[in-house]
Amino acid sequence: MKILALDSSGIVASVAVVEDDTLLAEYTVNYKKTHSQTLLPMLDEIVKMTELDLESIDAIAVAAGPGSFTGLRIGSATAKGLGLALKKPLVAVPTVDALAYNLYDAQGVICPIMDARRKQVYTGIYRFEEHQFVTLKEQWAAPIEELLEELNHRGEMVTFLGDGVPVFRDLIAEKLQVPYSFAPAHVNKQRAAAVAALGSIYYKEGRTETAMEHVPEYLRVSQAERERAERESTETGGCRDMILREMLVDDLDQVMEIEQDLFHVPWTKEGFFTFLTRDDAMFLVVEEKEKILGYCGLLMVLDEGDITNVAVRRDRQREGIGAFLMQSLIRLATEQDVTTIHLEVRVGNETAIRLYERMGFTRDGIRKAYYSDPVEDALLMTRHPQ
Amino acid sequence: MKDTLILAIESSCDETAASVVKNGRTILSNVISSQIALHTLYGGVVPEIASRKHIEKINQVIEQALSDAGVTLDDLDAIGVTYGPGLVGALLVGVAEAKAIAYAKKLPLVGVHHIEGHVSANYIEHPDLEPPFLCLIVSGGHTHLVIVKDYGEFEILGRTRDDAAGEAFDKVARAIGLGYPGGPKVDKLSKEGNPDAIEFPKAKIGDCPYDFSFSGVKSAVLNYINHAQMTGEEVNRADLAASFQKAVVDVLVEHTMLAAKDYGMNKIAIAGGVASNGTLRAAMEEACKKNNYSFYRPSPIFCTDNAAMIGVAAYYEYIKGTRHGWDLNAVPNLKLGER
Repeated sequence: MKILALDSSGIVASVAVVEDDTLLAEYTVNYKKTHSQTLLPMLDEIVKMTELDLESIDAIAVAAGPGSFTGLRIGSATAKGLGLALKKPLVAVPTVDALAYNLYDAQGVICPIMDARRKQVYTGIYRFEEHQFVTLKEQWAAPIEELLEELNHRGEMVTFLGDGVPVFRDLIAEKLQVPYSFAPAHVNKQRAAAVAALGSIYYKEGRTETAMEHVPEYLRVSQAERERAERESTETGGCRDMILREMLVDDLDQVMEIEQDLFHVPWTKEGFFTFLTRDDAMFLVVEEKEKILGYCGLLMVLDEGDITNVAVRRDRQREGIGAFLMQSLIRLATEQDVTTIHLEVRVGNETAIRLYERMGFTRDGIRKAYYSDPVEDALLMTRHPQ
Repeated sequence: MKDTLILAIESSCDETAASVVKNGRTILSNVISSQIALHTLYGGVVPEIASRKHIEKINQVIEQALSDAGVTLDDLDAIGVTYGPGLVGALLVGVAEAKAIAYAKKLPLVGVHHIEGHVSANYIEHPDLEPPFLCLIVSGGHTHLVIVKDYGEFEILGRTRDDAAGEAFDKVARAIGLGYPGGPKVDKLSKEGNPDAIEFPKAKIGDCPYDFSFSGVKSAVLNYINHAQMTGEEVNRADLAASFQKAVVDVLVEHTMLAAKDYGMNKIAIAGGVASNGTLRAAMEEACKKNNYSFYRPSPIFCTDNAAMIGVAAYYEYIKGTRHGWDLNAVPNLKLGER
């Protein structure tokens, strides 16, 4: 059985061919050049070096996500094209699983961490039990601190690997209470050999898909975020049904309803969508029984933030939802080292101005005729580091 | 002589498309999977969504194109693919897929400029059309006036200094609540309106008589709407659409006719998404008739993004000997005439 494997999910580009228990070839490059330019030439090199007949492979394994969206699609489209042309099945290997599989028979638990930005990681928890690869917790996206808490709770020795290690090394040293180590250079990043080896197992188990069916698993919105949102719901002054969480694309219909009801010049749905996909923006909603009650948004540049939206459904105002949203936004922003926060508000909106002053915002100045329909000055306010 | 068969793939914006083209002029299949319905929800193309849709659809579209044409990959002589300009994430899906297929089947790979594809759409239904000719390319992302000197060889006479013509249509459509895509909706509504009701400015660019500018007319329309809202006047949307469209079409036709006269061209073609605009087609046809020029335009289905036009362009590149390597990358801002 011969498996060709591709991994372009992160900074590493990697191609490998595994035949039964033998790695015939692997080409791994951790360099800035785009995967679009490197992946196929790397495969070509392997084919030439090993006189490989592509028709002789049984399946194409691909690191199927999570990872860089563009990187994942380059790997997937390459695998889909090869599968279509060669009439071979694909094996989608979860990126984090393949990373963990690099550390065969390691002691304790194996915890790959891929930097997902905003202090989040794509991660999973694995172990080898009697030489069998066991998934203790499937790959998911989590705030790094939540992951470290979970590892503390498990109380076992951990081996970390992945491109999140250099990013979070200091935080791990500070927060982790169990023994831990970091995997060495030759096995601490994505390697297509691991994708191929794990892909071989999946192939034998019949876990294949057609080239037409295959799509990457982006894992952008996760179970973990929802769980975290539910935990934070207890903070909404006893309203147990209220949940604070990040805004999702699926919320936009409801958000637009509120936006269009409250504002003369509402944001467009496209506008919200664009911000939801940006790393430098944070949008929160308060939800009660799947109904969005309010939302707010923050745009971040280094240690400064700019509040772009604050809105509470008309029939649920004066319940403290706005204040709760603002507090949460400030707290989460501070966690991300955003310490100075700006906003602007219509000078006539005294209720909002009083609320912002209670939150520690002070008046900076006036921007003349900033708002239209009706034309009105904007009051600029800033909350400085406390 | 043996036929030359090319499979072409196009994924530069919001259409996933594949086509099989015989000898550069005969379309054996033309499959387009459109995302318009999806992007209508957001009032425009959202790059990340477009890219995700391309990867979901691309194999299905290619297999359909092969089966519609009644051929297999073994019958092909080359693979053509759009590698720019366009949305980088969207382009990369088509480029990676095309490279993998070509590599696995040991076929030559031919990268195609998207705009060269639009121009080439004219060859499909006009077997007599050959370079040189003058071509106006108008779409959501491009407005170019070029002399097609030979297959794949262009001399750019004029281009837009700001918005593309199609972009102006989209923005005006949004402002009067017509939604996306703007061009066809403005065209449709303007049929009910008076094109002389409102006079919008036609920008002239001083130093280059063939260049275009559409941000002025777009702003004039938006100001007109704002003014009407403030004074409580009701806007006749049909009149506004018709008048805006006339302002744009007049300039497009005028500049094309001027260039034809100055450069002694008597074959005039139009291409690109906006080339399917009924008013533009009629106005250009009339102007050509008056000046005794031959007028060429693709059917609307070949004006919007499609892979058949990429297959045609790829054929002429292929016989010229153009080949791309396995390191072919997507080039989002690829210039016309560049390799």
